[in-house]
Amino acid sequence: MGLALSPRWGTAAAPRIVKVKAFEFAYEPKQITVPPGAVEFDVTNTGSIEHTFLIDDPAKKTVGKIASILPGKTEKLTVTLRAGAHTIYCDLAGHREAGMIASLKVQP
Amino acid sequence: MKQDDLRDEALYLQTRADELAWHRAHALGVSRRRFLQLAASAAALAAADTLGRAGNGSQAAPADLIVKPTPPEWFYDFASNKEMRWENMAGRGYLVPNELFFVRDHSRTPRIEASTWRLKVEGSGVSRPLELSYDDILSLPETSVIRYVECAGNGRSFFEGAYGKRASGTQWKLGAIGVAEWTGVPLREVLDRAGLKQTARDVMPEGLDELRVRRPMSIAKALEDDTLLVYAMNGSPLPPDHGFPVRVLAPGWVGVANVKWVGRLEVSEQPLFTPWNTDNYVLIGPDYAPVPPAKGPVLTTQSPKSAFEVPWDGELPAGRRTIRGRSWSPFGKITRVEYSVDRGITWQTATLREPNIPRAWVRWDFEWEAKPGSYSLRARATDEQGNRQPATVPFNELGYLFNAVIGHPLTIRP
Ligand SMILES: [Cu+2]
Repeated sequence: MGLALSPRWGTAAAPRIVKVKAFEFAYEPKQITVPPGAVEFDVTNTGSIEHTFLIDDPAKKTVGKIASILPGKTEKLTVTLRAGAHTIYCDLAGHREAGMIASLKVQP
Repeated sequence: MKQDDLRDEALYLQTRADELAWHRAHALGVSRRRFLQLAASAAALAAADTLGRAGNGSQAAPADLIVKPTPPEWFYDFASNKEMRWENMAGRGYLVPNELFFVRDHSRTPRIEASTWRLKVEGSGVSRPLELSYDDILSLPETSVIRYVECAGNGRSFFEGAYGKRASGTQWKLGAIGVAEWTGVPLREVLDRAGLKQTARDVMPEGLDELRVRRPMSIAKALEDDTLLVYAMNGSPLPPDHGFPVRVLAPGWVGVANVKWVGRLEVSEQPLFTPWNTDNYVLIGPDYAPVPPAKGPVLTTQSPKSAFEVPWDGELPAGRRTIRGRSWSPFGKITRVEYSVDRGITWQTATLREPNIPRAWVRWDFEWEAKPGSYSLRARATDEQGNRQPATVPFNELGYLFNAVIGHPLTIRP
């Protein structure tokens, strides 16, 4: 996936950075809004068990994934997002059902 | 004492342990009195064992996720999950001691009192719903079997090496497996007492852990002779991390079906669906189509695998070595294990050692004149139904059932 350059948001060298906390069993913040383009998610596991971090686009296609974040660790994910309502969630067994889901709005 | 004497003593103890294991594998339907005898003999064996006293209780996980000591020399640490280090099984007996057995907790180990614990058996598939106490369970017909329990994601980390991307979840190597002697009541006995209907289709054990693991199984699996409600492991009461007071044993099936800390059995005339068989423990990926309401084929049986009892990416001195490992299959006995020390160019046959118990494992070994250099050891098992470990496994997003032949990195130093 190439970096979509938006003239409004500067160069690819400096993606917007969004910090997220993952823990049992939620993400913080629960609602995130970003403009279209490249976004770097810095996801810190502040809980005590493993978590993951996935982003599904409005068509429910997964556009980015951090497959494992151990407690106390921060993992980074850079994705290029198009406008629309995305979903962030953890795909470990039972975690999404228990509350590990967040909304990601991508709007200009 | 000379090295040879130690080796002889270890060999003697191991032989005795193996005889006991072999005997126990055939001792189905033992009495309650017999269980107490087993516990006593297991304690004697444990005392004779050479298990290092590394724990000292100082290695408790953060927030006490897990009860037993899990020092780094015994386990790879993945927070609520602890992977057995295979080198600790080197030359050891057939069973994995409870102390060394891998732990896979979906959240954390719940602390449950046997005196207040109850098992509910209910749902449309039974005519006489039951509620059983711990003593009720202990008074039912007892059986002991030797079987493996393995996480569905054992070997998950190797997807990254094969496909350049990680599958979700704990990045296990091959240590999310163990073989134990499990003692309990056949699930069938409990279902019969609850008035199991001919029309029952699914049984769903539910865990008392924070996430309430709910993993349905078919009635056919629930009625197998060795599908048990287990209350003892290797002759001791089931340890908290392994499901105290009672867990399910579903031999050959993915680990999650062996629900720990079970508090309820739902028996249904309708197929049962939970996130544990629609979103997780299913195969999701380009080679797998959805099976609505599941996102992909639902996992049931595991797949044949092999592991070396050698430190991962470790070092050994040059010279004549006995290399050991174990292989297992959900479909029956292992009949053949081939090995390669030259990156899969040539293969030889390893020697299999008794006991070779179906749905447990077999130990094997070979002699190797190890010369200095970097190696990638390979083992490839075939079971009695002709299933052989493949060269590749298709990628799936949640990283299940990786059983391809892998290279085990090892350095031989001069
Ligand atoms: Cu999570």
